[in-house]
Amino acid sequence: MEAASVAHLAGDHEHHGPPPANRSSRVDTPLLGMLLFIISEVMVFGAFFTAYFFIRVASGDPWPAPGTDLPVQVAGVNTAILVSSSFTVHWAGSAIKHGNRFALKAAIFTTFLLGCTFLFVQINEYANIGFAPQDGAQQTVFYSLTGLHGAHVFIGLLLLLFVTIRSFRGHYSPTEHTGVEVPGIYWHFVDIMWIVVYTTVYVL
Amino acid sequence: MPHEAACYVPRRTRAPCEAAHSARCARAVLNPLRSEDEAFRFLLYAIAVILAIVALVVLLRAVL
Repeated sequence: MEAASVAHLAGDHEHHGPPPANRSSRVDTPLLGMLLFIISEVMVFGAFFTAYFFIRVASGDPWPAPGTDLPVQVAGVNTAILVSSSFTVHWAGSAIKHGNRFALKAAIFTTFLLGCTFLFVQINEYANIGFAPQDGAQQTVFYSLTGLHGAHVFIGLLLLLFVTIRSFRGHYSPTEHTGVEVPGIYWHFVDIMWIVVYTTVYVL
Repeated sequence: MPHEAACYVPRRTRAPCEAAHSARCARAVLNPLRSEDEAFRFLLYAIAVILAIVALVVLLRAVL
């Protein structure tokens, strides 16, 4: 028994568990996973944008609906806040690649605070906008598009919270920073989607 | 993430020199899923394109 365990520790081990998965694609597995995830997300947003453009263009209904007023300036400031958070998350990624742990912590915590501010302003906007989702098709699609994006921001904030906690605990290094890199890519995606939502829903 | 697996340039068109190939590949495709740096650059391009579209639409609305 003891000899067997010693042999096991010495490296005389045999493979246990299922065989390694077959890789038919030349694309790296994590990259392929992220690619499929982002494509599925684009399709989800595409479905909501289809509804929006149908209401606005195909059915010819006025936008915004008569009697409703969209807070373009407040949403514009919120857009600036979210774009700023993309700069800070990029700063965090650059900082850890150069081994600057203090800058990593400062940048990722700032990103988290900016994301929280965006979500807070969004919820405050919902509370004071003066119409509800059940008031009409325009109102429904407004809440659907901005709410779908808000849900993505919430998920991004959870990821950023994990990264913040881990960075304050001393994780990550110039060679091991995938945990910062992947949430950063997701956060940039969320930011791009918001710019498209803001432009189509509020500005144009 | 190894560059080999992430690059979409077909293998048969690759240059013998890997460094030259890497530079060519990076120039050929901006893949925002490859790294956070490229995602950030893609974001900046997207902002520039959307600003141009908004400016064009506002201009057309003013003219027409």
